[in-house]
Amino acid sequence: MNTAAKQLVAVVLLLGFWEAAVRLTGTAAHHYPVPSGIALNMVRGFSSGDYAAALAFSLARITAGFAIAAAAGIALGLLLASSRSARELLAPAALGVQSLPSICWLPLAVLWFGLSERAVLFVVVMGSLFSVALGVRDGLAQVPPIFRRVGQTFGLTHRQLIVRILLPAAFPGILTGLKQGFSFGWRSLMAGELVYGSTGLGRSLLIGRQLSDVNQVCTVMVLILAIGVAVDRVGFGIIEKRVLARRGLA
Amino acid sequence: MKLSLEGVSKHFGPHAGLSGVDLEIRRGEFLSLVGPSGCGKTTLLHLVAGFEKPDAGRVRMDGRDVTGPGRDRLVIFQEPALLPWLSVEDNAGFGLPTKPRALREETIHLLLRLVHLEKFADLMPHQLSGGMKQRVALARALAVDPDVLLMDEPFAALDPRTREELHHELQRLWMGLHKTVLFVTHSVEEAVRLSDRVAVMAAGPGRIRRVIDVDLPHPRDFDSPEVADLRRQIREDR
Repeated sequence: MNTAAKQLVAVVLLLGFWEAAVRLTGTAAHHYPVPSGIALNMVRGFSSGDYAAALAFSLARITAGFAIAAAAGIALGLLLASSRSARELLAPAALGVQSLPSICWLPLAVLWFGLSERAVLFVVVMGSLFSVALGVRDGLAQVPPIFRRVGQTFGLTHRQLIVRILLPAAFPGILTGLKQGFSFGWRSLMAGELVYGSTGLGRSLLIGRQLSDVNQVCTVMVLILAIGVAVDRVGFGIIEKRVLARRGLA
Repeated sequence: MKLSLEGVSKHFGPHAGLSGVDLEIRRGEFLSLVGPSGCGKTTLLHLVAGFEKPDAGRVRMDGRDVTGPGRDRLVIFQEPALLPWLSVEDNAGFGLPTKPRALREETIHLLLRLVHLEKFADLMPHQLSGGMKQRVALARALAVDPDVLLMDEPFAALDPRTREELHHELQRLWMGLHKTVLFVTHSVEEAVRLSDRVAVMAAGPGRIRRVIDVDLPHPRDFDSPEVADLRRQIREDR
């Protein structure tokens, strides 16, 4: 039996044990979720269109937020990598701000933008931006100096050097930063939606609690986890593998 | 004169660098710089390349001061420094304009044939041996048709057999293309095989001790007694 098959068997056994334990001990079903309840809730939620709508809202927000964070993060990372004074002035601040849980920006964002989409977007951007910037900075710092020399001897302008040599050379590091940035952005979005709560998966989680529906709470948790893992492993994972294989690094 | 250095000094601390170097390199000439490490051979090459500026003196090409790097003086480094995200073909064509495409592809094809790598156009750099990588680097430099090739110990990291192979290759290319070559090496053998003249340098501070003519016709038989003789002369002199 190969590893995947073994893992599958282990998961099925675990779920079966979980289901049996809750049912046989007669534990209060509305406090403890069971796998069959989660599966049923998943089917119901998707056939009513509720989960698809919630997913669509959350994915639209993370797409917009992450796009802004990626663009701003790459620009900030380039600035940090190219200017010594920017590095000395901004890098400690960037590192410091990064250690603040991004949901802490929400009250400020609400004061600035009102309780609105923009406030949630701001939280996502603040959660994601600095990981991207630091990834870009580190990626650029690791570019072998000889590549700059190659660019120079071929008479590249500063701009061409960045586009044709530095960014592609730093791409694996940039990708790592983007991946981490997405992951932080997604967490920030869920926190934002839990607090702001008008639509999205975070809102569905909140409704589950209000209805005391443990199965709904767990189903939405599974969905949130699934999106996070899918983007990280499948989306970024595949690109990363290809990039590294092409360069003979994997 | 293609290249000239007049009273060139460049200091890195009290003992390193160059002091008052005069050197002239003729158009189409192959000139090697040999000497112990720390004698400033690479510094001299970097000054001509425009990577560094002299503290005193002038570096000129075709009578004009060298003010920075440029594609009329292509540098070939000890490491091939191929870009790992580009195929052999795209590395060779790095300095070429992207359009018109047909011309670009034709030029790349021609160059890869010149260095005997036409069958490897689609491979990635990490799939090549050290000698093949250096051939791609050579093709990449020749693609922009520079007047001058500045070669900084380009074969030092290769095994002896590959090195000898590339000596023949470079000699053949140089005879056909009439480039001016400034070649830095710590191997007297290599210098005598390839050069019209060999500038022997000394360290502390870096300077040129003397310039020796290698008055042998190309293509050379590397194992001939004349080559061996000159090699011994230069070695004993040091």
